[in-house]
Amino acid sequence: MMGIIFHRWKITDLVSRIVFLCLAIASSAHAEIESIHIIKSSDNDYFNRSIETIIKATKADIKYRISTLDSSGQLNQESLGEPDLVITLGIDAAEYTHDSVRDKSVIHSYITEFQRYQFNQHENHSALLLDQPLQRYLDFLKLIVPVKGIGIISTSQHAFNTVKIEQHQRQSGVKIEQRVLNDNDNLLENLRGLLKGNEVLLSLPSPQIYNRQTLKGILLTSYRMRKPVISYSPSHVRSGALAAIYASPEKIGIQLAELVNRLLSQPDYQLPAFIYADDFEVVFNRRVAESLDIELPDKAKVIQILKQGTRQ
Amino acid sequence: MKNSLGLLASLTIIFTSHLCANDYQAESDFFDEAPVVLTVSRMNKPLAESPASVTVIDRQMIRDSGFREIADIFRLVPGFVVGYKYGGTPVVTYHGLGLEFHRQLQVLIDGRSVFIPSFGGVPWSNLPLMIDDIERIEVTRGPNAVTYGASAFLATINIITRHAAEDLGGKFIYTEELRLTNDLDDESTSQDFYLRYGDNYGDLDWRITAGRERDDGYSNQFDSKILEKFNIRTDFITAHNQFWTISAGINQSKVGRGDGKTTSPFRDENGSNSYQNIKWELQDENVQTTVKLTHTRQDIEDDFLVTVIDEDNALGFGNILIGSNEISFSNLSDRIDLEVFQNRFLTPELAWNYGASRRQDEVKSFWLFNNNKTQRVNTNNLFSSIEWKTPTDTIIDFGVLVEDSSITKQEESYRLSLIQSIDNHHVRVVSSTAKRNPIIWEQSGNISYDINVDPNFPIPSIAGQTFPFVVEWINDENVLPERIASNEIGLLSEFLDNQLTTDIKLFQYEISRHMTEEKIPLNLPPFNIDDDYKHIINGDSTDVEGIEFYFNYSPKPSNFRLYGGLSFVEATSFLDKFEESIPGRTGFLGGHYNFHPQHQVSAVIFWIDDMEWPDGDREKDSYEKFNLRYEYTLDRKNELKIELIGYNLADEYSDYFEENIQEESYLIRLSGKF
Repeated sequence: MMGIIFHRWKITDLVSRIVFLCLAIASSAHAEIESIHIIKSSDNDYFNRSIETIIKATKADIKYRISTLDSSGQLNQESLGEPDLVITLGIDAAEYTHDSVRDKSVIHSYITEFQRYQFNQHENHSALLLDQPLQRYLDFLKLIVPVKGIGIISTSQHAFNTVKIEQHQRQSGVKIEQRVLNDNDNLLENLRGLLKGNEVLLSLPSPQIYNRQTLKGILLTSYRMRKPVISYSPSHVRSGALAAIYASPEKIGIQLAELVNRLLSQPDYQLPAFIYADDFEVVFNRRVAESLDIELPDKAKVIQILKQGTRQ
Repeated sequence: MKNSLGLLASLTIIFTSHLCANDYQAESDFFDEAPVVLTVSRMNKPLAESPASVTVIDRQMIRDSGFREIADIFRLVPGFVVGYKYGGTPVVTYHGLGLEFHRQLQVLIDGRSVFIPSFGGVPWSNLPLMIDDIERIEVTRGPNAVTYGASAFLATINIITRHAAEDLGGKFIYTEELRLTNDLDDESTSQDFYLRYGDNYGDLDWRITAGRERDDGYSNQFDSKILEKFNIRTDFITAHNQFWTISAGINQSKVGRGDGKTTSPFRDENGSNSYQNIKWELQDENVQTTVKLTHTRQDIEDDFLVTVIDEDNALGFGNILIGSNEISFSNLSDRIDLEVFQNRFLTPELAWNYGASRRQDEVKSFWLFNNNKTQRVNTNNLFSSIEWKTPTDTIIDFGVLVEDSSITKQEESYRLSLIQSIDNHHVRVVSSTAKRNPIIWEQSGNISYDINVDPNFPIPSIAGQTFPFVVEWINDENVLPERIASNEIGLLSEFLDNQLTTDIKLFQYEISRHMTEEKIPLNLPPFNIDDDYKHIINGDSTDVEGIEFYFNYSPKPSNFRLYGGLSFVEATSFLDKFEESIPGRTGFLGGHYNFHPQHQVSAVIFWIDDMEWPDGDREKDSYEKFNLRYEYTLDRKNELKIELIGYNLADEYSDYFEENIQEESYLIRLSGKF
């Protein structure tokens, strides 16, 4: 089974490489990078951990400038300057540079795939996505719980199209049922209906569905139905989801540093429009696993299998 | 009170007016901390961000210990000492002053105060709660009046029971104990049996637990107990963000009392402890609203006949009957608590917690007040705290409580804490104050009883008449609440990918206006009885300082776990026996090892330095306590387990009174699901 997964990833990878290549041909080469401006949406621990990792993992002679947006989403009393590259952390910083930086290379981070679609990304802007590709979520899920069918809840804004769902169903061999909710739909009623016919709830970033207001009800309802939740967020796991796969702030920092180093070693390297972090972590809630009689696999082995798949 | 209300109302308006809708910040959704519910500030937060020293005891630790009494579990908290005055009367104390009715601890079960307004303290054995219903226990070591008002003085214990959805299906637990006494004829034993069943119906989960406990108590005392417990809990959801919990329980007890003397004959005390609890939670994007209404009742029936005999021939008529009287220790206490509070995230970095509560305590006891009137005390609280996470990883928390009680004047308590995180190390500096109100009888009590002189008494002028015979307590309504001002510096560190957590705290506190008893000499005619009566006064101050350490090593995945704690305390006090009541050093070390999927061993050892109990006569002496447990899982699917537990496998020791000997004993426990 794993061989099939890896084989299919190879195809996916090939397709994305062709897309990136086309983008590369379509755009001009970079000048040599000497200065980088890192713009944070706000000042918080995870941004700072990523920045620390970027600086440690890139060449010492690069000049870094680090700024934080003010509460109105602007750079307070300072100009953007003339950096060779801009790295943004968080959606506010991404939106700020989208409006104010058109002629420089920009790498956005700490944004999800759907957030990237929210603004019309410039050609020389790239994004390191915070979430994982759907296929990786599915492969992760299958390594933890052997399932035939999973449920996904989303809104029309974040829903996957039928073609993509069918494609992933074929690749993973898992039936995917997606419920798309409108404003007036009853969340828990739909969740119950979804879980009646499926063995696992896969939660994917969708702020209207998964937020402080709804999380407790979702986790409690799933638990009551003895159906585990596999999530994108480690904080959901601490709250009661069974497991999550995610890129930690340090892994995001390393990935960003790798992109910078690539630009330094290959000045004509064209940044891809977007990439997923190919280094990630997994987290389990052993108490939930025990309550649901689920025997968790070895964490290191899960990561190893998923990384092998990513590399292939 | 009006000024304080106005101030809090103004704050509410100021802060709520700054609220604005936030766009989706993915990083917050992915990485913001988990909602680990801690009682210390009523907010959902991880241990490292708690503005106090908190020890969490989880189910595994409870299981490892093998304890069958809830009170014993607190031996797993640094600085706590547990003793048994009688077989059915455990006493839990933090830093000394342990009394049968210990009034300096706040004890909550799912947020409901179980403090008994009549005598104060907690009826540990008579709580309508089974150990297996407990999910975890959070113990805040230090004053926490800002969050929980009076009685959250030295420490706060919050026992959190399991959600009804966690206990679907049936479970039984049967425990039989055999004590090894020096007296071969003594068949002192204990026996527990619990039955639980849970199910769900639509969006409603329910669980019922019933059980019976029997304990023969100490071999030398008339202190056996038979308890019958029953509780029910339902949890249900009425909308995706509205959660309800309704629970109720009752414990019927029959407890042996008396020392066999004519003034305290052997007898059975019949008691009933019950509660009803309703909680509603509304979870909005940035605001969580909670409304709770709880009722706790204790109803004790203990009436007996006292006969007074001149055993020493003090009156010169020989060993004759002087007189008798019916004494009633019966009492009825009610506590009704209504509480409303909100946790509001003003920004991701700024959280505000505020609320109000009204509590009504009622006590009816002829013994305590010399009348049959219901004594009532109303207490109103307003509380608010603000927590700000600065960009430099500092958390500043400031809280204030305004309490207005019908027996004391309005007073405020404060808490200021600062937590600085450096990688996985979290330094906290906490300064807090709290007060403890006198309980109703301490302030309004009038304890005395008369004697009906026997008609055949040789002195005709007093024969057949009634005279005051004992005056124990006379009220003093001028007493002020005692206060505590506490300071601590703590360091919580996480190592090995959070598998090892350590916490160390240095603390110092001063208790001022100490409420203490003063004896006044008294002579009661016609027998010229020279006695003392007592009343309460505000005394001098007590200073306590020390250092406490706790660690928990829980490798994942792993087949073992290790945890332990140490406490070193020094006190300077004018109070009689205060310094002696604090063991200078206490410690414990516990853990378990699964050497096979079906076999587990666990052990806990405790060291308690020299100490004595203020209302006991135990000689100041140190002791060790060692419990060893072996568990064999017969059927993993149905969790059918057999446990063999050895208690007090270190030397036997005297507890509370010299003659109360804690002996080696062995338990066998069978449990399983159906």
